[in-house]
Amino acid sequence: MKSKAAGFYFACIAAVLAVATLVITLVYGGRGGQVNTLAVVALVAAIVCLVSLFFGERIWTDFTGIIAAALLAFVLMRVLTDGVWNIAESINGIQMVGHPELAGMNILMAGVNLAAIVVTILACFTKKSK
Amino acid sequence: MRNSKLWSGLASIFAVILVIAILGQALAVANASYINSALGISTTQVVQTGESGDTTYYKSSFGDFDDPAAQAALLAASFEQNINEMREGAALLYNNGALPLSSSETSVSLFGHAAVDPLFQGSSAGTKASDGALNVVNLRQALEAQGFEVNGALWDALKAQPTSRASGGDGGGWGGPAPTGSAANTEENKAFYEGQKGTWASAYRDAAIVVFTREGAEGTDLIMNDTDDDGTTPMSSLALHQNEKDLLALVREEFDKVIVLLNSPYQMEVHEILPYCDAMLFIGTPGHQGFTGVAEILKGAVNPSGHLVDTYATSSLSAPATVNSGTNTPKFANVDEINSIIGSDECSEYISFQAESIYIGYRYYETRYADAVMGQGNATAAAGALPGASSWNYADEVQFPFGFGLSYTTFEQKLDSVDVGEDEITAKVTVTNTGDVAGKSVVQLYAQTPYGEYEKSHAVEKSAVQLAGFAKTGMLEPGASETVTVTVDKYLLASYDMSAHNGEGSYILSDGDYYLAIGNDVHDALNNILAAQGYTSADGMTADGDSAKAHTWKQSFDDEKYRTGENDVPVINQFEDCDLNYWIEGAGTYLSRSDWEGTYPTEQTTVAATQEMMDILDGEWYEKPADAPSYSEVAAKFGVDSGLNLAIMKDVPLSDRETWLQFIYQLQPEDLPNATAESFSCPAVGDLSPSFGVGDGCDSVGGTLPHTVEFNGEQVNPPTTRYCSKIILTGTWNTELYANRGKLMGEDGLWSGFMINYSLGGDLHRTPFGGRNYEYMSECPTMSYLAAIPETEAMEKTGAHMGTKHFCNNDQEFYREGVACFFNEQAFREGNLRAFEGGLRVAKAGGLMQSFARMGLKWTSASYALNTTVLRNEWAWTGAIDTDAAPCFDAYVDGGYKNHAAEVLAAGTQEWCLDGVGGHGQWVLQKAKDTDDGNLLNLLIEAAISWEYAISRSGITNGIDANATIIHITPWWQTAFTGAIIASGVLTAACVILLVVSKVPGKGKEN
Repeated sequence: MKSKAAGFYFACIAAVLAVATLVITLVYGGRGGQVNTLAVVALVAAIVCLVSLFFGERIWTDFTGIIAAALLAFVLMRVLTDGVWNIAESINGIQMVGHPELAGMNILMAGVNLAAIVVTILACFTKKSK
Repeated sequence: MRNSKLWSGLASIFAVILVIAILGQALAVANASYINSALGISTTQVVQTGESGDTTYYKSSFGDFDDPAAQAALLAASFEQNINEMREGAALLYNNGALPLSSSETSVSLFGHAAVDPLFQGSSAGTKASDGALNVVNLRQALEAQGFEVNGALWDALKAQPTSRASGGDGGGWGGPAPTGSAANTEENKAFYEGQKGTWASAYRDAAIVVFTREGAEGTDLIMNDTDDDGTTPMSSLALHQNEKDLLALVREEFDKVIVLLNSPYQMEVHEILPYCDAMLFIGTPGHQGFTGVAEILKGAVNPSGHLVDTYATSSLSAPATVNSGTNTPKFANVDEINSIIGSDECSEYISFQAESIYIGYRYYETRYADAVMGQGNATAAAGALPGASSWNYADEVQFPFGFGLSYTTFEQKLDSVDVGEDEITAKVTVTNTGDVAGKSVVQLYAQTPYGEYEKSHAVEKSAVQLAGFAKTGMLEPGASETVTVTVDKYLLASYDMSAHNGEGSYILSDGDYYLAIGNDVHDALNNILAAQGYTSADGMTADGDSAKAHTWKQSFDDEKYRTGENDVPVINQFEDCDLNYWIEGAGTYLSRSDWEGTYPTEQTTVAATQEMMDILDGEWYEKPADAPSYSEVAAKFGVDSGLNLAIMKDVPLSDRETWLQFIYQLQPEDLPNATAESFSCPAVGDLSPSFGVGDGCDSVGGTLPHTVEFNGEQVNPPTTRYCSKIILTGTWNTELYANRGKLMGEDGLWSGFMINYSLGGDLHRTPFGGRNYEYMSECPTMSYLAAIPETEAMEKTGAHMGTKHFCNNDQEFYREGVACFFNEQAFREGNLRAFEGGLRVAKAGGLMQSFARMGLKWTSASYALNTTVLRNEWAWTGAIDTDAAPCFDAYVDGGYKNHAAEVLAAGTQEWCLDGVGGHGQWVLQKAKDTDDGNLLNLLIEAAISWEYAISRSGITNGIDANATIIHITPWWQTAFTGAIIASGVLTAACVILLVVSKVPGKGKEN
């Protein structure tokens, strides 16, 4: 562990957050929320990219970090796209075409995912090993 | 290494921005109509290129649109209307002399969570009024304005309580409560009020004013199987919950006068309140300023003249419709099989068999009462009686009948004459104020038509009494009289006989004795009819009637008079497949007065859908007609400039089909999908019509007015007014107020730039639990028919069309998406359809919005029988037909119950609600191309004609002259997205390149 630098820990945190997003997404889908298959694939791919950062500085790690951040951004926008009616209906106190009761999960997913993006960017700025 | 990390980090930032910008733009474009509407952005501009002259074809009656004073006058008039609705629509249900409060009774305490957190309106479309918002008057302010002193400490304590009803005002908000339909724990508990005793110990004791409410919402019915505040004891959500009972007991003990205000659009079980109160006033929802009217009634400045438009039953669950609707709606018995075969996206799980037939509201309670008196049909059997009762007894079952409402004075009504003509019946009634204060009186005219052997043998059900017409007097001073005339269309007395003409079906006028009677309410009128038939209280009547208030005449059987509709189109059976028994023989039993005991629904009705039924539920039935022209054949007609624009077309009748086609052929086929796109901001259709907004909401059109006003130190655009709930407006029984509402909401729409306002709710109060009953007029289809006409006609004159909704069967909110409603044709034509007929066929509303429900197995939007055969043919209706909300999200998905676009278009529906991108229309256009189907392209042309016709008869034409052109504007946010995409794309690429370079040995500053 002594050889690990800040980037490694950022990558770990980002991976944990991404996994958390994935878990929330699956629970959300189980409760009737609309889950975009491509978003799940992107989330898994982002996790794989983040895990690749665990191996310290490699020639590919700068690129996989960027890819991970982009994939997580994709997931964020899919979460908002798929949840826009849930959120809008929740704000207005109606149920029309969405699931307003799931709006909280949309916000939670977006929040955790956003945190994952920020931490991933930090990982991109920093070395993974000393 | 440092540089590579810098480029890596920056690349990740720009990559994230790039992805967000790309997907964000897609999301924004898909929702452009909402964004543009919220930002007040128009995507078109009308440019005059010639002599204009006066192009304000639709003027405001309040002055110039550029004049802030005219806007202020509109607002003042709308507030006055709002208050007048409450003045004349609030129904005084009980008064032992406590009201009005005397001039010395001015110090009061307000109780009930709803006193400080009232339901200003239901949760659905339109302006949201909430405490503290611009132009909103709350109950305390209204009372203080009338000179009352309000217990401020109690008010503040109530305000500080965390108790939360559902939203109502501003919606749930972030983390806020969403409407649930439950009443559990929505009132402060006993301990709280016990702790407040000190606040009224020495003052504010003249009266306790208790406010109770219930809240449903769009998507949320009141719960039939709610729990008490303990969370376990089952009860109806409309029954009093324990905290409410405790509150009533406390105030009864503490105060000499207890006044209850029912701020609930849903009929609560008020028999539990009556022992504890001295007066009870139904106030529905007040909107912006309706509380002023409430305070004036309490003060006595206004004499209440409102009458109920619903029945207040002892048990909210005694209505026969409750067994198969709302939160009791059953699923198909083979729902898993259905989902596995046709997919859950077809929303085919729930089935609502309308076992009640025509017997909704008073038509059930009063008919059963009449049969009980006449000893007919086992009416007194226990089936449907209150729990534990051994027989059915009207006096036990009904608390306040339809049409009930007290006054501070007394009136005498005399039926002077009845003239039965060939098509109309005219009744003259003299009303005299026999009391000692001025007031208005409602003349209610009811009819009874024969229920004889023919009707019994042909399964023609008859309500023992039905509303036929009404009128309201002007203000009558004590001793003053006024003679009013009520005209009844005989059509309203006809019954739909599915067996007529050898099973072809038609309306019939039954053979036998007909009765008309006036009464203080429906029950009083029925008693007068029964009295004319020789019945007395000795026969079980609740009171002896007055035969002098009834009139009878004979009518011969006639199955020809109403056999045809407009343009002699035959009115015949169209909805046989909406009867469950059509698909599965004997699957459902309809309530019949021939045998109340044997037909009252006590168990839910459900079936296993057969394969044949599932095929229909699947929603795919469109086939290219054998004689369909080719796509190219039709498409070749496009692109021809005829020099026609909206200013010219506004004077071209729809019957001039050739000119309308020339108008449309100026487009390209690719422009047509925008004519199917209805949303809060509708897109331009080529260069033919500009973008515009639409209003939505039955008691407020939403939107804001153009001139800012100061509020809390800021300049804000005032919202359009939130009026009283439809139940209060309808409960005024005042056609002038109906018309004025239509005029003012039309003006609201005109000032807001709306082409149409979806503002007239015609669905029935099938049960007291319907989540949006506050938007719909009544439980009585005749009342809805009659009330819709003046409001619609008045709005249509303003330049903003009236859009009627939700056509039809949207009588429940839970499971409304796709619920399969089964009914018999008589019940439908005399019920749901009749409720809409006044606004559509008679008053010619410019548009309608359909419902989420299914007619039998087909979505209402995909019902050819409903949208083409009835609307276009029988009724010759020419308005724009719009689905209920069917947004395309970011992409049209082929399949799913709202996405059978070809079928919907072929059925006669022409616009998709909230599909601001025209996704459904685009899919149809592509299908037309792919399948070389000119018929689909022709259907899109018909949709465009319908849409443009509506636009051409609206205020959207203001400012357009015969030489005007329309230019298209890209919204600034779209340009901003494009800029962000380009910039972030370039920067991402640059950073990645620099990152690569930095990794090349000797190029980067690796260390």
